[in-house]
Amino acid sequence: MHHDVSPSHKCQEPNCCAAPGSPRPAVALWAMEEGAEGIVCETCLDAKDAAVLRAMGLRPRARVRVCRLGEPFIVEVMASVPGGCGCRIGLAKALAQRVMVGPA
Amino acid sequence: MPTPAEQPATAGPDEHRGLWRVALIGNPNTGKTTLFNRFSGLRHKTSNFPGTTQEARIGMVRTGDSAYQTTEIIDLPGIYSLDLDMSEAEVCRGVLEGTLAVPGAAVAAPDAVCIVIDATNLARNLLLVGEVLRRRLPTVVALNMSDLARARGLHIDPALLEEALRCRVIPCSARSGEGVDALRCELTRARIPNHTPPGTRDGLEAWADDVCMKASFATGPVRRAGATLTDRIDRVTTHPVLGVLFFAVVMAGLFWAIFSLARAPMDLLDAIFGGKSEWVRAWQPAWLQVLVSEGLTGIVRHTLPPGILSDFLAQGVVSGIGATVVFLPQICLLFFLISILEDTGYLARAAFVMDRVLRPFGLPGHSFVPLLSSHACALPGILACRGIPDRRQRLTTILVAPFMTCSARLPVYVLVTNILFRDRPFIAALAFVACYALGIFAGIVSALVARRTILRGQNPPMALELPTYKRPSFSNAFISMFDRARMFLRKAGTNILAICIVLWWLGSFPHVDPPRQAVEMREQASRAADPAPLIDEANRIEARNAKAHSYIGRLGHAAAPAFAPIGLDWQLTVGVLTSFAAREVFVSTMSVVVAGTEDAQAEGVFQAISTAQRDGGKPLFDTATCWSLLVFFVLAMQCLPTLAVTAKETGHWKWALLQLAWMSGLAYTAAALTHWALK
Repeated sequence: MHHDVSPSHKCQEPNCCAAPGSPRPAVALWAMEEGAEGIVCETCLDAKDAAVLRAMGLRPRARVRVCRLGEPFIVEVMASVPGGCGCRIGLAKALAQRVMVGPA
Repeated sequence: MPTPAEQPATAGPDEHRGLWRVALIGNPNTGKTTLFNRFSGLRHKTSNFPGTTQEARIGMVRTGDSAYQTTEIIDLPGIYSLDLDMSEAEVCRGVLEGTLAVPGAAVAAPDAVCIVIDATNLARNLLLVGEVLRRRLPTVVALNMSDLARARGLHIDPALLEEALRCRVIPCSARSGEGVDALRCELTRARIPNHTPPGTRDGLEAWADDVCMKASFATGPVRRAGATLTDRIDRVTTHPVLGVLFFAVVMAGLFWAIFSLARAPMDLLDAIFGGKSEWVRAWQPAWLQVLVSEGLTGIVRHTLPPGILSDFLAQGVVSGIGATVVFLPQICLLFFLISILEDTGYLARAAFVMDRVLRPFGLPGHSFVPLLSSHACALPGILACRGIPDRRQRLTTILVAPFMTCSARLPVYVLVTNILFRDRPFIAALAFVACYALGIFAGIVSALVARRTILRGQNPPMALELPTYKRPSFSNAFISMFDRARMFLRKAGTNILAICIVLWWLGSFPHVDPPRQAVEMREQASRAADPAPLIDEANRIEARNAKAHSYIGRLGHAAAPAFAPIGLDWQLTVGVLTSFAAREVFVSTMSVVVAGTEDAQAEGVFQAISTAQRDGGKPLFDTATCWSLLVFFVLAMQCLPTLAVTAKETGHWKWALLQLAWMSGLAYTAAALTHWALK
């Protein structure tokens, strides 16, 4: 089952870019602005959905750019190394609300 | 060249078949299917993995290697990870572990694996490479879209990548053909890599990043080709209002193409089998015209002496095949255009647009294309349901797909709306549209009922990779069309042919003596100056009498009381019973039962049908009966091939029986209520 999350949900992953105590809290991907970039911290999803998103490229420490707000929420997963091109993923609102992102 | 660290393959060629078998695996949208088509072209067959709806295409490739002249390629479903709890991943695991094979193939691990990776998205694709390498099978990596990566300023060094992966890496472009020959040669030389990537997800991701970092670098500022353009197009195609309008325009074009462009080839096929198309008669050479004007049925009748064999071949076999083949142009066009749309990258966006519309009814956006396809024919629509990831949603879509108005219903709609509104074409057109709307309404309401009861479950939120927009490949579309057409003919043709033969037998036996009226008419004809009209009339009377006393006629008499609540007498009951083979058979059956000829277009036949009377002298097609018939034909499951395909695709006959019971029950109830209200 999905957890309830708030846009200012604190990331609990150790050493996460937006863990408690870090200067800026993690926010839900859904709450980001168009064109904004961030680093994925964690996903508050059931294991199956989380595994699918992770396999698609939305994994912890992945750098993302918001391409389109609304549904589908389109996010570009940027390459983890210089020169890579990444991919674009369309997400339903229910998923975009539960992917937590810290500052890039 | 192979690195020294590589070990020789332990697996050998399949001794039983003398083939080298290669499994083709990769992420979705990596060009795997394009590569498969490059390898095998039309030399492939498609079948299902046992007990699944997952499709496997198996192609034969000439590798030119002296040891193994022919290589068998198995195109596996596109997956992001072997570890996911999804049927696609399950199938891939089964094939790689040697526990799953398509029917007729040896159940054994493949001799080699070819992993297709997208050079423009290396890090993510390497995760699947790592998972496969851990299986320790002879492996070769196809670094696809290398040309695109170069164009975007990304350089990947194949030698460095080979060193990191310890297996052969062949840069190629499936779209342009660059490097495909080199890859083909390497398929039989694959070796087991002497390298095992980490087993944990975190470890694997770090490994993939590390390999990616070592093997790739930017040759300059990397251009995110099309990113801005893709953003702009996406703003339109996924917009809540503009996106729906755009989608409506695309679908209207698809519909137009299916119903307009397919008309000429359908007429041609109709003429070939039944000889009913006037324009074909016009251009045929005279010597051929005689035969073609009567079609293959005529050829059979001209070739064989009159009798049971001639009737069987002409009415049972040729008509049965013709009834199926006539829809082939629509099926071909539908899948050709869907493949083109998919290749452009638009269909993934369309799935999101329709998800908003269909989600309240428990269906995902993926259901739209199968439901749209069902407007041509439910068979390809049900086959297209394979693309729906969630099992419950896939089952629901399969169950409701036959509610969509297929082409086979159109002759019935034309007949009945013409009887109802003969001189009011606009009202007739509205009634036509109402039939389509009723089918769609019944389908989505039935889906809602199914999702709230027997197929209850969460609607999984959608997450789809949105490929960049690109020019479609017409050769891919052609191969996809060929594939689906072959599947359609194999699945539907065999079933409908068998059913038509059974119905022909039921409608042709037992033979009865001609009625006295017909005998007297023939005697008069023998003395008349112009005997043709009398002989025609005698033929009609004999045909009506034969149908009334045939097994199907007797069945009609016996079943008529059950259909009385919806206003049917024994004649209409015969029409409805025969239409269970194929709905359009209703029209030709009524032509025989009422007018004594199978040609519903013949002069005076429509008049005869529309003014026909029941045994008691009342009109056969009164207003209440016409409307109840329309409602019945919109909602009823009257297509045995569809039931057979439902059973096959769902893996169990219980779903086909449920579909039959639900649709028939709904049709009967709604038609009875309609008849009661209008009587």
